[in-house]
Amino acid sequence: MTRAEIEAELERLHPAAFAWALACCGRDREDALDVLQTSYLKVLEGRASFAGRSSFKTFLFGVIRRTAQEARRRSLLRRLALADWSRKRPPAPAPPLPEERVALLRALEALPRRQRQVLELVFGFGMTVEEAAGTLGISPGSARVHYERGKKRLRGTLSHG
Amino acid sequence: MAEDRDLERLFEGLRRQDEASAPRFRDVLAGRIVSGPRVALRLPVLRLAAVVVLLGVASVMAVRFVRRAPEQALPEKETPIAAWSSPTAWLLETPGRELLTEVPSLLDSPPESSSEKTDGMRNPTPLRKGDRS
Repeated sequence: MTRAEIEAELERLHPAAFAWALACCGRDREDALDVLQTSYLKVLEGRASFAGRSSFKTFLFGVIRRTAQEARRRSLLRRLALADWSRKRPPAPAPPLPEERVALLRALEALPRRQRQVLELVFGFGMTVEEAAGTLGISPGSARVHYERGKKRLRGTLSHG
Repeated sequence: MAEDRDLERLFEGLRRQDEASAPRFRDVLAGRIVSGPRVALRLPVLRLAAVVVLLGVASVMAVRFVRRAPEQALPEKETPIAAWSSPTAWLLETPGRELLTEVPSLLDSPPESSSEKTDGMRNPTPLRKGDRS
């Protein structure tokens, strides 16, 4: 793929990529934007190259997930080293959400990260469990276990909440 | 119990809302969206941390300098190493220590005062008959 083709593909997937970056960054908009820009630059500069083994969307989502993971580690180290309390800033005012979406977000927060990510990829972005496994860098069997357990817990939380 | 379709509907609604709030692709790529509040909040904390660290280092150096100063003021004695002796060497000087290193001479003449007394005892002058009184 040429740079122009890659850029066009990134632009086409941009809204979904932003939504996925939000999911990877604990719904922190500022972090998501940082992660997204870094991911785009990685892809465009060839630091993350698309080998064509999966769809471009799966590849891009994998890059975003890894970049978010790196950002989380850096943030943790920075907080430990500098006692960077400024991270506890007041959250940006979010638009009012319907009650059922608030309940969904709370139920998702209670899930382990892997289960939450598999469910978001499958239900939110229409991926198969195998595609979700490729995005998360885990085996399809492991992804299926996360999917089943996460779905069970999520249903339980939503029905009780 | 929420069925799969219900979950799909909920997730899709959430995703659509997130997608609708996405900034323009070009702006994200160019980094034009600056996270203003975070920078504004972080800078004072970093400055404060830097000042505290500098003050700490300065105070530690000052304390060390003050403690070392009297020692450094003393003139250094230029003593050759061969002439050095331990301050507690006198404890090794025990009475009669020379008996361990020297053989005493038995032929040495004893002091005069004692020899006079003993000579009188060893060689008494024979008494004569008239001397008793």
